[in-house]
Amino acid sequence: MHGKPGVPPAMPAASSSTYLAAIVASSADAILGTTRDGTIRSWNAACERLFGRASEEMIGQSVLDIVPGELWDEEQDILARVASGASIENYETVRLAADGRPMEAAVTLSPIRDALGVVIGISSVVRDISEKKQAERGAAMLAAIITSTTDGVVSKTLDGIVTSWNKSAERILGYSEADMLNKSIRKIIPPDRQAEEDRILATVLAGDIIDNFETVRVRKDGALIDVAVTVSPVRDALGRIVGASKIVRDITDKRQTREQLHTLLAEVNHRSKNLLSLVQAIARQMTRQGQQLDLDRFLERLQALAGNQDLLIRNDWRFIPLGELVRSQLRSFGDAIGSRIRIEGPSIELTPEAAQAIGMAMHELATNAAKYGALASKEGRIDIGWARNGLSFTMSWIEHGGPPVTPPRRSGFGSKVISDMVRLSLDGAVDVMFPPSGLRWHLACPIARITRGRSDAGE
Amino acid sequence: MQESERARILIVEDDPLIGFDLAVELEAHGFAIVGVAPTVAKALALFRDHGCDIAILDVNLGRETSAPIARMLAAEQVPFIAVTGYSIEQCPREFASVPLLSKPFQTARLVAELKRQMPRA
Repeated sequence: MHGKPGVPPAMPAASSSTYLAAIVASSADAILGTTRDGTIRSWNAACERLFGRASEEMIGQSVLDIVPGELWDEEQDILARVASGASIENYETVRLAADGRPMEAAVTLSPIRDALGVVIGISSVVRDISEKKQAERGAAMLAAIITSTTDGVVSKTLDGIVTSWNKSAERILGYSEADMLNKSIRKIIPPDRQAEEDRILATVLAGDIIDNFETVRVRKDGALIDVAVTVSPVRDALGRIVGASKIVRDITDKRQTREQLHTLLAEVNHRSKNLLSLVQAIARQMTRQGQQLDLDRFLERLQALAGNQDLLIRNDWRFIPLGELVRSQLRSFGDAIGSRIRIEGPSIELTPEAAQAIGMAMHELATNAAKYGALASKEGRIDIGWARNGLSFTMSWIEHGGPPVTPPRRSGFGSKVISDMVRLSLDGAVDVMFPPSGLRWHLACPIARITRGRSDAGE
Repeated sequence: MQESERARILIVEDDPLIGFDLAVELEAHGFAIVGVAPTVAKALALFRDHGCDIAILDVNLGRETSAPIARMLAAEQVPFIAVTGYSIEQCPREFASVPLLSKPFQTARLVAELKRQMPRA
């Protein structure tokens, strides 16, 4: 109030109320007056703008016209309270805007009294607070995101003093918010990387962003941790850079994945060169003493190796089940398996090395059987069996019913594979016999040579 | 060459056919083969029982590397040659100053290297 205390207003009553009416009419705030029961009696220009409805339309209507149905009870309760003399300030509620759309509003209601102090009406000042509420919700949403994100989110001043520190920053770096607030961010930077912080701050100060910079930080427990940091400048309302926000991501997994990939590639390097050596060894053994390379046989042997590899890959390069190995090497005689070819033995997981030796032997025996042995006639049969007896393993391939057998005149690659190579690699004894009834191949070796479980009990 | 004059070689190689092929190749070049060992334990046992003049070590033996054999041979002052599918920086440090042949290699190169490393009687 501008008047001096105790001094009556200088203006006459009539012109004073005109003056007040003019203030209300021109107020930027929407001001409306109602009777005690809520019938609208005045509706200023700001009301027309805010609610999009003219005063001629509104005067005489109930104030409930601008209140959503579900709030009518509450509104009537409030009107009753004001009518009995109470004032309600900045009551946050919902009003209906021009198109019937709900609008968040702050309403201040005051009783209007006559000269005797009797409440004769109610004045309401309505402010649209939609934008403010929207901003509050946005801020709350951002705060919730920062609280719940798995990334560490930190803010700091341009001197590197921490001004906020979320839960995930605590999880990743071990320091709590209390540990870090108002402390230098340099606490989490290893001594040999302190220069990084100077660079980061200089970049931020220049208004640039550091995007996913992979580095190392120190946890509270002293352990180093691999992180990716993204740092952006924070500006005030005037656009001045006043600090930096920093997102810290734990990339331990990523680094481990990269290391695993590196190991895997080294392994691929080793294995592929080994495979080339193997191909070289086969070619060399097939052409000893000036022999011409039998290209078809050579390619068949490469196929047999490739078959082994498929089985290995299926078991993550750890082992090959013996039964699967035998069936795989005999798959071109698939229809005879179970009838003319009997395969019998307990389940044994062969090491990759043993699988290669036994797989190649099976391949050579099968090829020989198809050309000269039991599979060269319609009547021939093959019994393939294996067993483990304590620390030893035995396996046999016995043919019968095929064309009469005579021992081969010279020992070729195939016979070296089924005897010398198997014997050498499995530390075993191999017998190959050629009775007329059919070829008999027998292997005995320490179980530890062919399967894991007991480590190198071979000697 | 007399049997007694032939240099005695220990081959450490986990791949059965490559080991077998190496043994056959080297025998054809006049060397005597002490044995083909696919594991560290087998190699150490062969060396303990028979000794050797020189060894050929495949660096990667599947589940293990031949580094323990390299340490034992170095301690016994027995020369050895490493063969591997790895690149040199992927090999254990036991092989850092050892002649290394990258797989696959020709027998002639291996034989030349063996002769270079062999202690002259």
